Amino acid sequence: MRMLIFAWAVLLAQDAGVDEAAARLRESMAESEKLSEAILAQGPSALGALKRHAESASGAFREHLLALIREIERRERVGRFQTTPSTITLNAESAPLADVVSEIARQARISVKCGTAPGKDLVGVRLDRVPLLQALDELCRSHGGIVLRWPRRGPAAELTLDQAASGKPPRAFMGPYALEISSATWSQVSDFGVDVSERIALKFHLTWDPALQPMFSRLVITRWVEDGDGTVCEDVTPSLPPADQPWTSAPQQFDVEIRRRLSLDAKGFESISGYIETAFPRDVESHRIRDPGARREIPVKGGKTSFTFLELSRSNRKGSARFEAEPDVNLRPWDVRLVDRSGKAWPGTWVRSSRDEIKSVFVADFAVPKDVDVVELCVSRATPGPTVRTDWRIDRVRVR
Amino acid sequence: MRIGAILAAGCLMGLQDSPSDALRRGWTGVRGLIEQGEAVRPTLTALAEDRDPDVSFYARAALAELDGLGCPGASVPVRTKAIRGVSSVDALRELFKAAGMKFSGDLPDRALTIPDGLPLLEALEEASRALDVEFYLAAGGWKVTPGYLHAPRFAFGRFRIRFDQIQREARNSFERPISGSCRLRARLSGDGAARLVSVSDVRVLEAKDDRGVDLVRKPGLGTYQFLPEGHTLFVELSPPAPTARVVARLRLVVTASLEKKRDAIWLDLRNPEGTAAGRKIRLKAIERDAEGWRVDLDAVPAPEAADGFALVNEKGTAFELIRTRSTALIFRADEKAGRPVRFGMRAVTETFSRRVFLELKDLPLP
Repeated sequence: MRMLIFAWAVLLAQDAGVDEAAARLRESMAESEKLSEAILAQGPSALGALKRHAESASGAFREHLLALIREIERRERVGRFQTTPSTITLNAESAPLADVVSEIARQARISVKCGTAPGKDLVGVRLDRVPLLQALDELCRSHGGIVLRWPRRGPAAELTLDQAASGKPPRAFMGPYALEISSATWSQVSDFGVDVSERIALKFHLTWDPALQPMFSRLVITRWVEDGDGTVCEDVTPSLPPADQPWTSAPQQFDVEIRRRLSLDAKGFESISGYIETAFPRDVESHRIRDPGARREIPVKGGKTSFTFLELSRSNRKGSARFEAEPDVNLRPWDVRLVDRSGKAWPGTWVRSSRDEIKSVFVADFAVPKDVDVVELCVSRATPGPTVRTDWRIDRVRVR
Repeated sequence: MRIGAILAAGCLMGLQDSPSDALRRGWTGVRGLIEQGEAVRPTLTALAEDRDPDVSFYARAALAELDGLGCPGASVPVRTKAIRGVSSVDALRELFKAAGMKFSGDLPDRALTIPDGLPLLEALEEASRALDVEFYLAAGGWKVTPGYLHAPRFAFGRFRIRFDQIQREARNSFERPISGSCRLRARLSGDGAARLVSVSDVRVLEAKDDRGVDLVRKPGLGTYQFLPEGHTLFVELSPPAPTARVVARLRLVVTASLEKKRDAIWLDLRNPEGTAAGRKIRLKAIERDAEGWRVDLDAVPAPEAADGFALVNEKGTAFELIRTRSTALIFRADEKAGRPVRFGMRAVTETFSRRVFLELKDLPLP
């Protein structure tokens, strides 16, 4: 019995030692993570010192330093490809609409125009680090008679404020994203027999801050509430594109069809909600072509290809670039950008290609303002990162 | 009872009232007037402009029927008489025989009663309802299928129409007021004596729901398409009142193109163009592919407008038609027959156009 008590006491003493060691290890790892984040926050300026220390270090410490170097370089590559979404801060009281709009355009470095909106009207708006699209929506609400319009394709790089018609499309603003229902169609079909089918077709349109360039996007509806008797439906509609299909693009228009009977007194929906899923590049391999006319061989996925930046033409609405590439290269809008003198990359909004037996010619449209001086073409191949889920809710959608 | 005696040709209906009063009775009045022939044309022409929309509509319908009498094979149709409680099999056999039509199929043998004075199509509508069957015109004559389709339908003279779909729609683009529509789809067919080739100029003359809302959408034009199911009309109306239950009245007029003459048309690469049912058909190529000889046309005429496609070599030996694919016809390649040189078809070379007035009542809304 005495022996047993002694063994028990030894075991307890051993446990206490492990606990103490584990606690100290946790503290030191937390400290290490904190220090690593501080170094990462310094960005490329920390690279010199890190490389110097890595040369003289050894073992696990050296591996950790090298991992930090790789992470800083990756963040820099992705950062060139994708910048931080704009936020707007301004305080206007009885200021002409045109002045407020030009201040927002200046802060976001994008084109915002007063289309048919009366620029001389006085508006008051107070914005504190509000995402660009939401800031413009608040401006519209403050005025009361104008509506924000964004391009149907590509990022929201050219925005217009127009005089509102009799109504406004229902919208949701989620940080750098905006989602609207541009049309809703309700129909009932009868073959004069017993069966009457009913369906509601909703056309969604998604856009985002031009700083973002999602590689993939997907829309999911999870719930809707009818406006008549408040009937709730939580049958999740199939996502668009379907969840079991590999992601290939970042669609912005989603045609949703709901085959369901609305309650007799329902005119539409009190609210429709769901989420969008987007994926952004985890890493980017970029190749820059500086001189128009020069041919450049570029390694891409599956081998090498060569590009010639042929020309850049400008129109009033968009900048477009024409470039020539070897066959078998499937370029997507996010693969090409134009880089201005300040180093800002302007993503492609649309890519078309024509191909004959000898060469492929690609023409890409870019939403580059006229006064921006483009200096080079950047061809990139990005590796997608994890998906990001953003919830949305659109209120008051009348369909009939 | 001798069934042969129950049918009478061109039974003249006595008119005891004025033409305008007769027209107010609707299609019965129209039937009575057109049996008087050309003599009533001046009266009908005057009544076509009558202030009463009903008189005007039926007068124009009667005039169209008179015009239709000039169509080949369109004399005053055979009418029913004294089909009261007789065997359905015997009655319909005699009816088809008297109308000069072939009929095949199994009919339920029941006692059948059909009102007097009805032409073939209208009599078939009565028989369909009574026997729970549908009669349809196929390539080999009239056939029958079980089950009566409870769809809005109308038959008069040599034409009938059956609506098979109605769609109510509301569209909200949010920046404009909600727009609505009511779309109808219908099949038009003839009685077989007058062969329908195509339809044009579909017009809605009048449309009202049971709340009295005018549903004619300006300019009130419908569309026509030849689909595998038949001659199909599409009509778009303005949205009915939310509480409306039926389209109370729908009046349409269409221009029907009927077969007048059918002849052989031969095309080759030197003379590649021909006309079938008033529509130009051009031979684009005769080429050999993996399946056989492929004849490419710029458009394939509708089955009603053309049949009997043939591809022949210099000696006139024909190649066998395997299939049609879009605007191409594929013929079996026969090495012994050599190369084809001419493509031919039997096609409608002359048509006769006439207007057909149609009237539907109480089309149920979804």
